[in-house]
Amino acid sequence: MYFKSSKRNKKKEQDYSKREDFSIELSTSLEENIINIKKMLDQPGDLLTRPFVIGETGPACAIIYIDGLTDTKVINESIMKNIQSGADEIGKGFEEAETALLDRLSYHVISSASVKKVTTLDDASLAILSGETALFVDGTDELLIIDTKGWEDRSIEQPVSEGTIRGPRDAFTENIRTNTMLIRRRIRDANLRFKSHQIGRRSKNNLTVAFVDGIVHPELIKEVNRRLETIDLDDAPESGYIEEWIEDSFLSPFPQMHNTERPDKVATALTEGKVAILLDGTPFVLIAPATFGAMMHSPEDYYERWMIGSLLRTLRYFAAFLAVFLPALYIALVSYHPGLIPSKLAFSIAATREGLPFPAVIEAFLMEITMELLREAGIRLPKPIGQTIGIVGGLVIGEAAVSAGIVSPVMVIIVAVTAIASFSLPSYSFAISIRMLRFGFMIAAAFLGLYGIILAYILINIHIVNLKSFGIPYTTPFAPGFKSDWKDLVLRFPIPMMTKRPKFMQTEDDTRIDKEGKS
Amino acid sequence: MKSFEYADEEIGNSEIGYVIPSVVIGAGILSLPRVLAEGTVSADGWLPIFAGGGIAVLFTWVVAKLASRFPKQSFLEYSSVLVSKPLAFVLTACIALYFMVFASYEIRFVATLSQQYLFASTPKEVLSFVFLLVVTYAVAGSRVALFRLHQLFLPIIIGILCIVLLMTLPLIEVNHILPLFKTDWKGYLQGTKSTLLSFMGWGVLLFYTGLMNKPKKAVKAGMIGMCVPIILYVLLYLAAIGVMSNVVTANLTYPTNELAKVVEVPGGFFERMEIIFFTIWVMALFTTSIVFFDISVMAINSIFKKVKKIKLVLILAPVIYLMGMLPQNRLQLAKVSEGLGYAGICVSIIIPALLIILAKFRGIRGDG
Amino acid sequence: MGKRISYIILASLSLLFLTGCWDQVQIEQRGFVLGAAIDLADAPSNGDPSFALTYQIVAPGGLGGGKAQGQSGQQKPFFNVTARGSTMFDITRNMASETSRTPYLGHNQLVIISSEVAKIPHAFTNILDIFLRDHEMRRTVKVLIAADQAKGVLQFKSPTAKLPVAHIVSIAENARKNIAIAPPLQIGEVHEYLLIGRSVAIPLITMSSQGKKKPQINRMAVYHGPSERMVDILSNEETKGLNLIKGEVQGGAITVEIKGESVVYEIRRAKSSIVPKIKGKDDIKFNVKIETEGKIAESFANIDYRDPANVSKVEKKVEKELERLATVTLEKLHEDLQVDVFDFARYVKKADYQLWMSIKEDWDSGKNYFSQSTISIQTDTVVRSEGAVIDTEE
Repeated sequence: MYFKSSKRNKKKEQDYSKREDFSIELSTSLEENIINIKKMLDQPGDLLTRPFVIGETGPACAIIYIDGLTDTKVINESIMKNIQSGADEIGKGFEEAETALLDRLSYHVISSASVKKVTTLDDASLAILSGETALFVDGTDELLIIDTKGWEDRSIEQPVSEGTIRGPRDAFTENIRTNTMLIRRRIRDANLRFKSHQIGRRSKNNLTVAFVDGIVHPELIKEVNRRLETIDLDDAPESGYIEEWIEDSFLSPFPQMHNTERPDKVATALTEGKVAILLDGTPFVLIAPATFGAMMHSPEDYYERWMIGSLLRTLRYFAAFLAVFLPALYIALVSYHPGLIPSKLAFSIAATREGLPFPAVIEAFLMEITMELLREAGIRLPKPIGQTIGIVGGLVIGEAAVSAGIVSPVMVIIVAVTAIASFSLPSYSFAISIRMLRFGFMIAAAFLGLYGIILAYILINIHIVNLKSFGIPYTTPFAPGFKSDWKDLVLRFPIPMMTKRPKFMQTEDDTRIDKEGKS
Repeated sequence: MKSFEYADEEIGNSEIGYVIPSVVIGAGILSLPRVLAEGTVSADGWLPIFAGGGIAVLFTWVVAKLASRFPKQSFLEYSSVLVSKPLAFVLTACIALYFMVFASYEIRFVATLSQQYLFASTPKEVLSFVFLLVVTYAVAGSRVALFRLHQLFLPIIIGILCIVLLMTLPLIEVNHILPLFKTDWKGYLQGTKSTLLSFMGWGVLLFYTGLMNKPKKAVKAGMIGMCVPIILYVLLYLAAIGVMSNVVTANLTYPTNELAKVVEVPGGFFERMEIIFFTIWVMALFTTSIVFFDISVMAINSIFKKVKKIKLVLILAPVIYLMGMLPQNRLQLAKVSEGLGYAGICVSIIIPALLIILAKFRGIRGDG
Repeated sequence: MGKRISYIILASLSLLFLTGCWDQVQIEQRGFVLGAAIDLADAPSNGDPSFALTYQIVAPGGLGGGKAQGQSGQQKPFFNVTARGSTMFDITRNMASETSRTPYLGHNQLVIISSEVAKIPHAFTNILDIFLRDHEMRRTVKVLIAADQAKGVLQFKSPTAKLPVAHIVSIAENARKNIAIAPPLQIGEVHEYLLIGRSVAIPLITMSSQGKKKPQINRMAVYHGPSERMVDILSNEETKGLNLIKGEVQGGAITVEIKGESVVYEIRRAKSSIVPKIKGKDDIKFNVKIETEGKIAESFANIDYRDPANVSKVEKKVEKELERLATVTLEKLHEDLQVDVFDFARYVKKADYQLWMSIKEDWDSGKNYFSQSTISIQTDTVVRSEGAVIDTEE
């Protein structure tokens, strides 16, 4: 009902699996099983098989694992060493039942923390591909999957896109386990829940929904899970894929979910009754639902004094205003309504524009596009060169364009201010939306001046009041108005005054702070 | 997802409180000081504003009372209970037409004003057309979203008006406001009438109350909402007279706009207040237009239940546009506005009054 | 739901944008009019007066606000354009054929009308009409009357400001320093006076004849509302008196003689209160009380101001002087010209509205009840401070 991509849902019904069906039961023959596995994976070079026999007369066994995804030390220490040192003991009485042997291996011998049994080839291959080790025993149609995952990981580093002066310095990594760990370390609540999904027809990626039971609105969880279950992708390399699939309107220019690499931000969101979606392989965690107001918040607002937090937020709203409207206003005022500029400013703008070849619209577009190019180039290039490009582009091109008489210095100032303003927004995704909208406003201003700008502004407003993020209107708590939530909107009230969780989240437990404090 | 009830097709009482001033603050606010100054001496016009406003509040009460007797019912539904079905159909159709004409008037008015203050040679057809597109887009969206628009825009409109008012304070000359109470009763009556006409807008409660989750609260919210424009108009009127004197106000087409032009904060970027002032009156006209458009859609939809709302919007939009383009000049436009005023008396005063009397005498209640 | 409609809207919007933009004029192509001057044209054709309108248009390149390039230094920051015609509309049309930049009135700050023009009945009103009607013009534009040629005022070379108009505007705002300069009169206020047919005193701008030509504003022109023309010019003393009576003095100095030597009294605060006593049409009295506060700014006379008697001696002298100024003014305006530029009419209206409605047509014209009224002057002066020194010489 809120989920608009109904067309994609229908496709899910059709059978996509054209390859040979391997979801067959395992056979009792070790030989056959190994051949099947190898056939299924087409004998890759990194698939290693290590056959062995338990004891003197014991059954033939083998472990299969993928080199590189596994920690060889773990295999050595907790599987091979244990089995072989106690081989005679284990082999005793295996004639009775092969399954009993498996149980004995699993319960008494293998000292890995995670061991499970599987019965199909498909499960086995998935486990092997995830870095686990499969232990085959001849004569059984089951096998043991032992967790031996271990690969090279990026360690926890500082957040790249959301820096703060004050506040924790750790950021999520590509490893989902590290990420869940980072969240758990912040919320030691027994009600913190991680619900797993598997995403990607081919990639079989791990996705985890995190929420705090007892705070979050139960319907929200239901809806999130429902949407996640409809996902039918080949591969989800980044949470952006997930976001685009489950958001309410993919036509909207606004992000309807937060993405963040800051665990502290996620933790705060969870305690506010929001839901976090973690995807393995990306450090960007999604927070849903998102509202316009929350897009303007930075965790640092809460870490510094509340007055500063409030002022900075106000400043950010102003920055957003500048980033959207400034070039458009320049175009409108310069080419339609010079009477609305203060006299002296009007004269000096006119003076700087004297003899320029382009009308203000072209001038503005020229400079704004140059700016976007510089920004894009700066991101793509290696860091040291990126900075150089920024300086060279910004200073040299700007200066040269002015002295060559192509653009006016006022325009350069405006472009610079706009760029700085858009950088100061805490959410990168939101900032790029705003950058995009800016061009829309410039076009509106070019055709209908101030009238065009206002109509465009109204248009955007119509769009965002119709927009919802997981059932929550995007403009909450401005409209529909939740006055008690205005404490943490444009202004950030002192923390002891924010005793309630956001009302618009309709949390099950709404008290965040007991006013009296701990007695 | 039914969980977030506030997000669905229901509205609370604060939304109603926002809609009323949003509807009332429209074209009228720009010319009202002139109309009042024409009939009254010095600053006596504030009395008729209160008088007209009082009547407006009274009838807001009547309309809200009437509509809240029949919770979750459309106008057509409860009026057919009261006055038989065929008559109810006729009434609904007439009201729909009234709101359509009103919407087209607002859409035309935007063009006229922009032509006067911003664009000398851009054709009014284009200016109106663009505005209509935006209005149509708004009405085509969800109805609850319209209420959210009011909640977003009304504070901006009122805030900026208050800033303008504050900045006129040092310019006000007491001499312009004195002497008090020298107007004859005819002047007061005239003023009360024109104020009342410019306060027309509480009629929307006939329709919107049915959407409320707690219709009983519509009465209080509507009345509080009505008080906002009254206070605002009085302040604006006093500022216009105080700054520009009675005669000048009476001789300016849109004194409220000229007031913004007089305000100058020297040196600052806001030397020219008109720029933000212009913004808010486009918004004000927009919020008024969407309500009128939406209500005509609602009324017609209640007659033709099977037609989809979107279809209706797309059919009505060109009709409204063409109607708006009919008047040839400002005089004809003023005629339309006058006609609308009298039709408004019918729709917002006579019909609800009759209906509520009927309901009281026959003891009909919709909530059992 | 809204998807299809947003497509339709997008499509029609893009259609619209193809049609172009009607009102777009780049800022550097506009001729920003800073000041306007209206004179009588030399050749009066067929009886109708014909006017010459001069616009002072900014040439922004010469202001030096932009790039500091070589040639911009020499460029004059403004140019004056003059066009002639019998109606203002004619003139603006003629002007279009003369300037490369279309005149734009949005930043106009000044309208100067020559006294020759103002003396022609109705001309003043007709000229201001176009300025008031133009939606670009602001109501805060200042209005001045030029004693001689109005165009000449816009042509002098200012030693401080780059634009003559800027220079004149800052003189007009110097009311704080001189009793003879009234607060500048704005076109919006003039509009009010014109609408109610009230007389008004308009600041007069003159070019000093000796030495380098430069503008001065220290007198006022008397505009008679009922006959819609300017009738006379007040002298400097009469202007001071007028400002004192109207209570529009914001500062300035009064020089009095004590023991044959000058003492300068600087007005810091001044106010006037006018109390009407109305017993009938023919018995209208006004009590004007002028109160000033100030300090001794300069003293040639060797006086010990620690002695209260001496201070009150100065106060007495100043009061005398103020009274003299007021009386001179009243003689001229009340008795000679019989024109109420003091706005006594407002006090009558406030005090007795019924009476006012019956006499308002004959206030300072026709039966002229104004001239039949009696006006008495009272003055009160306080010296608040004697300055930092007791004496500068033995």
